[in-house]
Amino acid sequence: MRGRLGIAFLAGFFPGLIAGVYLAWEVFPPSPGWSSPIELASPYQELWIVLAAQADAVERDPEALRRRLEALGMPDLPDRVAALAERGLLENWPSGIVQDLARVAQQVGARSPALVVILATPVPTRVPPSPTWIATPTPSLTSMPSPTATPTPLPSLTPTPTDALSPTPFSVGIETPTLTPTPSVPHRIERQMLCEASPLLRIRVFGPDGEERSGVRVWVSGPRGTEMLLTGLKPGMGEGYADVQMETQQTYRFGIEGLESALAEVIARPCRRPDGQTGWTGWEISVRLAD
Amino acid sequence: MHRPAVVIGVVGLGLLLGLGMGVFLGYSIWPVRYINVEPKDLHPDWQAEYVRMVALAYARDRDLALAQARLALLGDPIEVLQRLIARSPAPFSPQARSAAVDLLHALRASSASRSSGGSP
Repeated sequence: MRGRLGIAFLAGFFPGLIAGVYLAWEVFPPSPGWSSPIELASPYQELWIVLAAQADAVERDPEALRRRLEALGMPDLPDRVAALAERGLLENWPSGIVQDLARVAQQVGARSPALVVILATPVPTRVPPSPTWIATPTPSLTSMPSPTATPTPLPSLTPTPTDALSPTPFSVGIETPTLTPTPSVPHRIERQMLCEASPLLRIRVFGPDGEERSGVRVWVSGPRGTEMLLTGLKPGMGEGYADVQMETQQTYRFGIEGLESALAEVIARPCRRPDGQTGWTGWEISVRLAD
Repeated sequence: MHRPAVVIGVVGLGLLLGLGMGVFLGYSIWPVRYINVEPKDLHPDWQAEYVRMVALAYARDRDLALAQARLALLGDPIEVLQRLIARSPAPFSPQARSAAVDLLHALRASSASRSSGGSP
């Protein structure tokens, strides 16, 4: 009977089919040596993008750049390249790489304020690795009484607009606006100490006209080394704002790029918050740039 | 009624055809796709592209240690670069050729310096 032979054929065919697929997938799979960049692990894809950007800076071949980037098969390629440029900036990658990435991001259609800032920023000189002296004598840092809820402003040399600092819930003291110590650092600095659960060093840079200034590179030197911040990258925090998380009991120095000396040194010390709980001193430092 | 030998033969024939079809499907139609691979798993053409980019990046930043580390993802840096220069599947741009030769010289000089006990 033909039907029975058909059933017998299928009884052999399907197990054979399954066995064949199993052999091809599991027992003798092809070697992975024929992969394309789309299959690279994520860190290698990022490396690929960095290399493509650097290569393009030398070759200036849009066709080669397009081929290399399209090989990654990323539907959100412009955003990915832009994000990588911004990450490079925040993680203090060499500025040449960051600018190459920003340029390529714009080339592939990404648009973001950060890219404009990066591309407008001249390639900086090296940051001083560890500033060795503090610009301002800050007696209040070492002799700071335990913070109380009452601010005790010292006589100030010049009246300072208090709205330069954003209001914070646990403000425990306002320090004197400190004039810059040497003629070579003609910036005006104000510091406000805050008592908070997780201390933050907030930096706000103003231009000579009193307007917040974006795109200013400031360096912060702490227990984990020196890192570079760029003002204006935190949405909603202001054009001149940048911050860094502080580790408790650690000393942080900060300065503006291009200046040899630190503008201020602060430490996250224990303090008592208004609600009675123990906190740490965070800082908000405003710098008004000189002309 | 069929003889058992005929039935067994038909089952065997089905098995062989199914096996062939399964292998064909598994290799050609739905092949295994690797994800999260490393640069050394790339197709040779893409490996060559990677090496070209590393050489051009070196021409950009002059960071020999970095270029070496990047090439080491494919194997011995000097061998990898020599292989590219000797048998590149795609034509070099003038900048890429110059960068690759330049990097090869730098790697050789560095290697010679290390083997002679000089500073790296």
